Amino acid sequence: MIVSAMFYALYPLSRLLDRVSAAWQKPPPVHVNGREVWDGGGQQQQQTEDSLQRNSTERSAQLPQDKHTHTHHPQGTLVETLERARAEEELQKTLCDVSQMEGVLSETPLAGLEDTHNPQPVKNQAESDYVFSSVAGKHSEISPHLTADAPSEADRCDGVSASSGGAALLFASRSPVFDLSALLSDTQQLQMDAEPIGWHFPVGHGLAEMCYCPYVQFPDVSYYPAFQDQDNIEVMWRVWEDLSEPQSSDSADASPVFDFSVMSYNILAQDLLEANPHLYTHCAEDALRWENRLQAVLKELQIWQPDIVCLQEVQEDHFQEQMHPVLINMGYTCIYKRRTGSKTDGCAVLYRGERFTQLSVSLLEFRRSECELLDRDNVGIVLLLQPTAGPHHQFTPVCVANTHLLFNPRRGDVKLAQLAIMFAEIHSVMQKCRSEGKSCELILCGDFNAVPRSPLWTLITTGELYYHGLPTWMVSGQTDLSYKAHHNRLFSPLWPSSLGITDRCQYNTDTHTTASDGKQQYSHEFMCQLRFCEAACVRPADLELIPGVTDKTPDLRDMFSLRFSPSLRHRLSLTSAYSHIHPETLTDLVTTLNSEGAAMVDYIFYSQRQKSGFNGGGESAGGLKLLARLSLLSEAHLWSLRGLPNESFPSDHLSLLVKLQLSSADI
Amino acid sequence: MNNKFDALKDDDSGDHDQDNSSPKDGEKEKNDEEDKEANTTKRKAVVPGAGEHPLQYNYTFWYSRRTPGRPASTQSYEQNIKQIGSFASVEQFWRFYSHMIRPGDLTGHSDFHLFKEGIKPMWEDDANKSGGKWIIRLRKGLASRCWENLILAMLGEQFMVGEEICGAVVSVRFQEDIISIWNKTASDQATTARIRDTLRRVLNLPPNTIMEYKTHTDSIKAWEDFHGLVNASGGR
Repeated sequence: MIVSAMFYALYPLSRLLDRVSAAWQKPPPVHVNGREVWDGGGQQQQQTEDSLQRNSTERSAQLPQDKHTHTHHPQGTLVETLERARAEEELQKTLCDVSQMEGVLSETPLAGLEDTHNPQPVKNQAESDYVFSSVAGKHSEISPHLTADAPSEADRCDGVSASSGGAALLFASRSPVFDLSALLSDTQQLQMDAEPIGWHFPVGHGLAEMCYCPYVQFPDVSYYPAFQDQDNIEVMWRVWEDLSEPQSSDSADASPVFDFSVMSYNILAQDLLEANPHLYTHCAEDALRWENRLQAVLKELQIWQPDIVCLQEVQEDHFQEQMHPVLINMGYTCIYKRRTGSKTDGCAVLYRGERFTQLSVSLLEFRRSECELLDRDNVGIVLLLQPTAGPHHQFTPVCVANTHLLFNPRRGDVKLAQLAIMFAEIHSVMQKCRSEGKSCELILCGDFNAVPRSPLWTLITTGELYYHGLPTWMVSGQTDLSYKAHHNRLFSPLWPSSLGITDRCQYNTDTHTTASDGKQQYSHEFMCQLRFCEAACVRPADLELIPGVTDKTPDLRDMFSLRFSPSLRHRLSLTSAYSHIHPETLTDLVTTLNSEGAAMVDYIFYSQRQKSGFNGGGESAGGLKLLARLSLLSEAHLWSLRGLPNESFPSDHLSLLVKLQLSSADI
Repeated sequence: MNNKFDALKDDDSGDHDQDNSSPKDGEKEKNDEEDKEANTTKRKAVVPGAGEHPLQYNYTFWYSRRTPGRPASTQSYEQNIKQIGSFASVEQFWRFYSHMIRPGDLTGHSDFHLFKEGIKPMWEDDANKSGGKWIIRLRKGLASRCWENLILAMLGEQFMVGEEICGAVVSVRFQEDIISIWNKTASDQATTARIRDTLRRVLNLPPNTIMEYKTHTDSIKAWEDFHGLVNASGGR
């Protein structure tokens, strides 16, 4: 969509440029992918100030009409000595790539597309993040808009994340967008000390309005309807969605809070990438190179600096040799669990040592020799973290769980069993915490390889799943295999009792033990299993019939559902931090994309703060409050960025990032 | 937290309403609270059926209800309390439980009691007289689930406090429901703390749930004070 719109907008001017381009000695930038566009100010620049200024100035002179395009970014040249021929080659490649998507491009839009889509990729140079913001000359009247807008956005975002501090606050005190007026100006200034802006690139009428100059200056293109529909705002980049309710009165609610950010990110193990080249046929080679992807992943972490990071598909050697040292320097404590068997990747949980202390850690392997069903190598990590607070406040521990469930779309049965192990461990960790009189919040992150509203997703979010007769491929909703003649279906029991996990997704280690002291001990689950046994359904002979007290008959519906509609349940109340539908455009949002499709399969689930308390009191009873999340993108958006991975998104998954708030415990 | 007011409030809302439960020691058939003791004359001993899952102790269900229209103080507690039945196994428990209305569906001012066989749900019982109870007040709608969780944990010996547990009560009141669990020795703080923690776990209680421990001697005193006060002020 966006590319198409850009094309229409740029086509006329590109024709102009075509004509004049020969006059320019300076070849257009050579690199083909728009890293700068996606990554905004997060990129660090390699250019010297000189080259940057020259390029930008040249370009603003060269492209007087660019002001109405939105994704504009001043460019610098990475390698000034590149031959023009090489540049043209690259341009050709760009064209091809774009043509693949749009199928309608001719050669003429070269220059325009180049300008729009292919800013210069750049490499690290410390402290040279830049924002073009100064405005001079005839366009100076534009700047008040921009400068007025920027702080307000900065304020808002500041409010969202006030306490997470540091560079994660991307908008603090600077413009959230590249200042287009800079492109229009005759002179440019480089702000050397600017911090990352983040992936914020609003597209649409905002910029168009600011650029008051007519966007069409050539009669021959006047029939293009481009940009007429200015009400159609489209935010194309990842922005913070503020979900916190406005504080009604600060005086009333002065209880201390603990804000923290959580990221879940499948970073795509290089071994898996190389083992499945068919999934990445759309990608530029550079985007698939591990060195590049590693730097981009680390940069993402550096930009956002989440307090807790749950990573999946972390290759062990890469983690140990390349990531771990950097992460340690960034202040993270790391827990890593490689997948079993010969798999080279695994899950990792990182948390900032100055914000949390670790109470317990469990490393889970889903391969169980005693259970034929569980023959896959997936793993999970369950951590119990204590927020570090001042001496006067105490916050409840947070259980952080991270997993990457089996991908195989046909094996929903395995996925459910893996999830049940995860739940059982979480439950046991939280129960241990509760038995000490503390409450415990839960954050469950990971790549669940199941789409929203699928049965597996339903089990997580509602705590219940009737699975009787469900085809196993249907569990995850990843692919429609209904055309197949034969379906494996789910029947009770889903897994053998030797696994030691009940259909409540809890360990049944204590179901029935004649304890060492000879006591007859029974767990809740065990007792419930006997609820509708034959003996229990007969009315006791000596039971006096008291109307309204002992005149109940065993609930046949309960009995039926327990006997004949087997279900899986869990008692953790979980809410997904991300909605799978864009709130405004109502398009499906996705977290992963490859050559074979796109879907939302990564989630951050959390125990949500409830409105009403357990007792009559009505005060909120613990729970986490979702303050903000980094928005996702739709499949169309991602394709317009040449799919995943690309130069700015180093994985075939997007990172999920949320800000959560913990209230002070009642102590 | 004002204990005096709480005590009054307790009685006002009829927390455990042992109205007029005058100690009738003569009626205590069992001075020995253990269930190995021979049973009362009217009931024969219950034993687990063949193949059933025996419980560590036998238990007895009781039901009590304040008759509408009559002032509480004129009703004898013992007049209003009724034995429903005793059981010795998990299966037998479900037989009774499945045929009893859920606490949340009870009408009026009613209580279910589940006590070890041989222990009366009265403060004055030998097993209870130096004991106390944990009280949890619940908003309406939660009693059925909490009660079930509580008694399953009790029957399944999840409290791990030896023989300290005496029984449990759910009291259905007008605006709230109250569940409580009674133990033998109020002064044993290690035991009461352990019971509290187990309660939190099995009931899935949020941390700000108010749990109150009350000794039976305090309950008796509060009751007497309250009724003394009522009598002195002319039956207000």
